[in-house]
This record gives sequence, structure tokens and C-alpha cells, in this order.
Amino acid sequence: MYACAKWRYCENLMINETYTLIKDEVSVKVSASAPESLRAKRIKRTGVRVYRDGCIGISGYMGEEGGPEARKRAEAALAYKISYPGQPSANMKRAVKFGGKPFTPQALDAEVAAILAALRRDFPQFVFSSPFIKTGTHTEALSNSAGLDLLSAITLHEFVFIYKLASSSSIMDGWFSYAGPGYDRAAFLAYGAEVLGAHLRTVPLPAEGRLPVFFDDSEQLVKQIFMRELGGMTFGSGGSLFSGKTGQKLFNEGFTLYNSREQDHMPFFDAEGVCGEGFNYVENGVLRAPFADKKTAAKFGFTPSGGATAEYDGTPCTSSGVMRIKSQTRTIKEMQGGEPAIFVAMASGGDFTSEGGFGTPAQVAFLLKDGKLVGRLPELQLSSTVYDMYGKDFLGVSSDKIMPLSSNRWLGFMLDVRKT
Amino acid sequence: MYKFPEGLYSDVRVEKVRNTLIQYLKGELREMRERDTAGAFVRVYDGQRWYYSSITALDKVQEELDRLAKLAKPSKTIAENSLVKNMAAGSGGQHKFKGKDLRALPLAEKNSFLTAFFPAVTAQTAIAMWSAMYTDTLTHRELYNSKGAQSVCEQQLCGVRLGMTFTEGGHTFTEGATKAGGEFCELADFGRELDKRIAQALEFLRNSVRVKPGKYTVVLSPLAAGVFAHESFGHKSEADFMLGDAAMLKEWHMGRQLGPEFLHISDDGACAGSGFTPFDDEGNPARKTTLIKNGRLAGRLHSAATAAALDEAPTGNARAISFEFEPIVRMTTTHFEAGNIAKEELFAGVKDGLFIDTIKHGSGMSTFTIAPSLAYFIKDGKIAGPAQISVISGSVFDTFGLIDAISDKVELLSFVGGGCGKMEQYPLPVGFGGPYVRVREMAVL
Repeated sequence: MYACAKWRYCENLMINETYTLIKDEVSVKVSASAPESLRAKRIKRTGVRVYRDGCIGISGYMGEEGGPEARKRAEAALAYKISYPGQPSANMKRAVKFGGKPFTPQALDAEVAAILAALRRDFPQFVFSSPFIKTGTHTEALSNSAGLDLLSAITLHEFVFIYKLASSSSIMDGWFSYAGPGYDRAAFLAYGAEVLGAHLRTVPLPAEGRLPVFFDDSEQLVKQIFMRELGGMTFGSGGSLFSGKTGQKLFNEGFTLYNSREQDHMPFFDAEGVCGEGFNYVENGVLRAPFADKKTAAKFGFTPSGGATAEYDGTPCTSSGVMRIKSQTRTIKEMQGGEPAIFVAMASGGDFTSEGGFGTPAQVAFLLKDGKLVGRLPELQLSSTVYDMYGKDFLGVSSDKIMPLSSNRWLGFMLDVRKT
Repeated sequence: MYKFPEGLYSDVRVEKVRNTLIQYLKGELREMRERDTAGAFVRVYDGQRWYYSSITALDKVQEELDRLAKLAKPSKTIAENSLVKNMAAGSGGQHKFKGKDLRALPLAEKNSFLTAFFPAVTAQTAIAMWSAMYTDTLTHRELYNSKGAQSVCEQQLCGVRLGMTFTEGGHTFTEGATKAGGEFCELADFGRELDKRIAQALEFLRNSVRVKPGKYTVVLSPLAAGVFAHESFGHKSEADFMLGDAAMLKEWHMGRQLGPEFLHISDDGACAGSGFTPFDDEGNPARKTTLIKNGRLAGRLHSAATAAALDEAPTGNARAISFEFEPIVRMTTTHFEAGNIAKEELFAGVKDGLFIDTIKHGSGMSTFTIAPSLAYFIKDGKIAGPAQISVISGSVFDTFGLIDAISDKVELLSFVGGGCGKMEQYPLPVGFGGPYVRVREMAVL
């Protein structure tokens, strides 16, 4: 984890800051197993911030022109007296460019056509669609008159294929996807083939009751209670389920929850220039810290977690950003120990109650044997509580990945499982 | 205004937006801004493929049109294309906002309006954390296409929202109150609603009990029924999900019996409020589309493309969240129509069930879900204390058949601070609501 340098400044000195976001992308949309459209987008947004007397004033503009006017508006906005008790990040220069070259529009079009040809040939039972298959570069820069100069340019490819059986009357039966800096058609198709092949084999649920259930570790549904209850303002104000429990061992020894922004292909700095990769919220089951922007951190004596977010022309604010659970040394096969388990591929609409009770339908689930998807299960209902899931029923995160291209791993719990 | 390329259908949507946002966190000002943005979405269609571009430089629209045209394959018969025939023509589409323009109201007045609600919150020691927001947006859209259409559509939406976290005796509960409308005066009685919501939340915090998972008779409030209609059925009425899908078309054929005779659901872009869409983003006018009539499938929602593909008429439901995106089939204001039983009678018929009053979120795919916030036990037809529920869910095919009562009054609701999400486009303002709806055998977690 980087600790961005702080700069002591005179109370009356004004600091000018520029926050630039550039989205440069090409996307292809697929409908009824054929490409439908090709879209190009280049949108530049610039935020102009001024800091003076412990306050922040912000304005912004879109496109290439508008800087001087935005500067005047930002200075005028100081009159609103929006307090900014923390100091702007300062005296740090770093540029990170990540990922290869994006596809050209023609190359992306050809790649989508090649994938669709393979899917239609090998899996004629399915109809495929995609809201977007994207390639592009997201550039984010934060610089100020106090010596801060940060730049991140990340090029990613995002492939999402929604499938449904031609005989199915559902909107969709499932999806498989990949997002990352590299790309390999054969690896992506092999992963898709495992999912689609398993979908074609209907298998019964071995038994109802407490069963090992695995998710993709990027799945937010099972982590959303931490995203909700570890917000610094709520936590510090005493309104969180976890308020006042810092330093207590609330969860399983194997549970470590951390800020994973770089691992999840986000800029290495947040909207305030804080670098938070690896910031631990929970460490070996012990609650360590909530997530907090500088203002919240200053108010309650927390450490800024490096997850602040902001609209281009908005005040930075606390955000959970992205969080992951530290993986262990065991592979999924070792975690299963020869026993069958469930892999939840699609669970939409579930939630935790304010007291930590958890419930969700699992619209698409597969039977998992030795780390392989062997067949499709009926729709399921899953339930537990946050303290059980991340306590005695926590199985951990595998050392191996769900698919070779991706950085996502298997995250498991013992849950109460019932057929819908 | 633009020189549209020959042999192609093309259109340009220019969008200019003024947005005001004021936000407080626990009484401390966090955001106060007025934002003006402008951008254009350019589309070219050659009869086979669409080519899109989204730009902020409005002086480069013609350049983008010409660039996209070079990617396409012009066709002499493009005018005969059924999709193109469904696109708006002529300059008839004009809807200027005629109410009180909130761009003229000073920020200070909007701020005073918002802060006037703070004492109701700060008076409660159990409210450990709270946020407050006022927002208004005036959207001006112009549409020009190669068939000669020139339309202007303006919409205004304003609203206030307070989110509160209550804590007492080691228990916490989060709830909010919101009100929205096209005019500032529509927010006037928000204070009464806020007081009521605070009282309900305090009772929930102190007395709620976790529901044992199982199947229950559930009564949905107008808000919950609106989300239910939106998630369980509305999304499945969006015809883009049916393109090239013979099985779904067969399953969802017009006239199919889905529920009881007294079940009617409609989508109406002409309803005032957050779903108001007088003209869609292809220039087609709003209309009321009856989706279910007497329990039978009666219609679906269309863009020009989906209407052409299914040989039906456009319904004015092609919407985009902003100039950055292409219009796709979306809902406007979707709701159950009134039934034929009084609300009191509807509750009286429940011996042992649950009432869902407010919700946190909902989703709709093969299985719809609703995550309730304020919910209550019903015993012998009476509310019998607050109930904690994670989620209720069910299949559309089964659940509509389990509706056994709908109350006789409809309440439509508007919102700010969220909206409907579909694929990459979120949030889109929509409206919903309805009567009270009673459903048997609903899965509760």
C-alpha cells in the first residue's frame, strides 16, 4: 500500500486541482446471436477544485473547452462553505499505464463475429445476446498546485454473453463473462463451453439443508453488508451493525477483507489522491476499520481507506469502492474434499436485513464436483446470517482461479439451501 | 439543419440538461451545485446494422454523421425498411415544459426548502446517521432524422429525499422518505410524510421480529405492488428480449391467461411524474399500452426496431438514460389498474400473512425479487407488529395466478435518487405504484 505524501499548507493559500476523466471505448451489441450495432464513444469530463480556508469549491465541464469559466465557478462555490478539513494530497508524481492495446472497431467487430460463429456451431441449442462487448481505455488524472500529479490509463476488454435455451421462455437463462487487460479467444470459449455444457445437463439437488455453496469472489451480493455497514459516517455515528466493534474478533480467522482497487483494474489512486490497495477492513476475523474519505476520517479519527469517489464536478465522498477477500492456499478441489457443492452463477435480488440476516434466490446454480461444473441445479433459496457466513460457516477463497484469463476465484460458505 | 447521408436512415439526438443537487450528511453540507451539460447521440442504420457515436462537441455532429455513414452500406430501398417506416416523420413532436422553470429559482431557496425538514430528524436521538438531498433536472431533447422529423421534448423533475439510520439498544434500521414531481409545489406536503415515516421506523426498530422463511399470503402496498409490476412483468413486456426468440414469442402470445379476470396492468408515458415521457428518444409519442387486460396478455412495449421485428406498432418506449447511450425498450410508468375490492376488505381476508409497506430494491429476471424494508405481520386481518424480511421472490408464471385480490384505488408514485437499470443503462427515471395487491403462497426469506 502506498502512503501518499501530505503537504502542509498555509491556511490562506489556495490550492487549485484538476480531476480529469476520459472514457474512450468501442462496443458491439449482440441480439439474436448476431451483431446488432457498433458504438464509439469518447467523453472527456474535467473537474476543477479549489481549496481555501478549510473549504472546497468545485465546478467542471465536458469536452475540451471550459477551463477558465469552470475555475471562476469553482472559486465562487467557495462561498457555499463546504468544509474540507483534510489536506489535499500533495507532492507525489506517478503514472501507471496498464493493459495492452484496445481493439480497433473493425477488429472488435471481427472478434465478436468469430466468437458468435463458434458458439452457434458448438451450442446451437442456445440463443446468445450481449448488451455490450467493449474495449477501451479509461484515463483518470489528478493534479494540483501542491505538487500532485497522478495519472492512470487502464485498457480493458469486457466480454459479456447472455444465453438462453432456444426452447426457454425466460428472458435469459444465464451468462458468462470476462473483463481484464488480456484476451484469449480459446480460453474464453473454453470457459463458455464449460458453463453451457453444464447448463444442458439438469441434475437434482443432492439434499436440502446446510450445504457448501460457492460464488465468484467478485460477487457483490454476499459482500454488500460490509459495503453498507462499514461506511465511515454510519460506522462513526454509531448507526452500523458493526459500530463500536473495532478490534473485536467478529469473524472466522481465515476472513480478511481488503480494498482491492488495483486488483480490480481501477486507478491506483482514489478521487482524493489516496492510494488504498490492500487497506484492510477485516484482518483474520478482526474488525480493523471502516472505509472513509479524508473528511470522514478527520471527523472520527479513522484512516482514509483510499476508496473515495467523486463525480467529475462533485465533492469527494466515502465509498466502499471494491473489496475482496484474501485467498487461501487451498484449491477449490481441496476445499471441496471430494464432496459435491453448489456454484451460484446468478443470484439476483437478495439482501441482508438490518440485523444481518441473509436471503437470496439463486436463479442459476450448478453442481460442482472437484472444481468442475457438472450440471444445472433447479432454482434455489439460500439463507444464513452475516455472523454465520463469515464465522463458523466461512469456507474461504480458493487459491486457484475460476477461469485462467480472469483474476476471480471461488468464495465458499455453508448456507441453508432449499429448492424454490 | 443536418445533411443526412443518402441511402441510410440516420438521426441526431441533442440533449441539454440543467441539474441542481444539494446534499447534506448529518446536517453538514456536502454538495451544492448547478450543472449544465450538452451532448449528442448520432445513429446511422443501413438496413442491417446500426452505427452509433456519442459526442460532447455539438459542432462536430455533422462530421460524426459523415464518419458513421462511411462505415455503413447505403441501400436504395432503405425507405421501404419496416424499421425505418416506424421512425417518426414530420415536425409534429413538440413538448415544451410550461410549468414553473426551476432554473430560475435561486439555489438559496432550494436549500432553505431542504433544511426546513432537518428539525424533524435532529429531534430524534435514535437517528444516528442521516442524509438529505434536493435535486431538480430540466432535460431538453431535440431529435432530427433523415425522414424530416424535428421534435423538441422538455421534462422537469424535482424531488427531495431523506435517508435515516436508526439505532437503539444494539439494533439498527435504515429507512428513507422521498417525494418527487414535475413541479416544486408537488413537494409541499413532504414534511407530513417524513414525520409518519420516522414514527414507523422507530416502531420497527424497537419491535420488529425476523420472519421464519416459508410461504405466506402477502399484501403489497401501492409502492411494493408497483415494484412487483415493474420487476415481475414489466421487464418481460419489453419486446427487445423477444427478438429472434420463437419460444418466448410462443410462450408470451397475446391472449395468454396469466392471472385472474380482475388483473390489469398498463404502462403509460403520459402519466405525470418520474416516468413522464411525452415523446421517446426516437420521436414517437407517448401512449398508454395495456399489457394485461382481464388477466390476459394484451400488449408489449416497443421501440421502432422491435415493433418492426414483431409486426406491431411502436409504443413510445425507446428511451436512453442520456446522450451517451442508444435508446432501448424501457418502461415509463407501469402499474396495476384498480381492482374491485376495498382495501379494508382485502386485509380482512388474511388470517396469517405479511404486509410489505416499503422496499429497498427489486429485480426481475426468471425470478423476480423484492427486498422489503418496512414490513408487518398480519393476523386475522389486522396489522400485528413489524416483521424483518430479507427478500420475497417468485416466478412470474406462477405468481400472477396466485393474486387473489386487488384494491379499488390507484396511487401513482414518483422518485428521485435512483431508477430502473437495464444492462449498462442506469438509472432511468420511471414511475410506478398501483392499488394494494394480495398474493397467496409467496416465497419469503
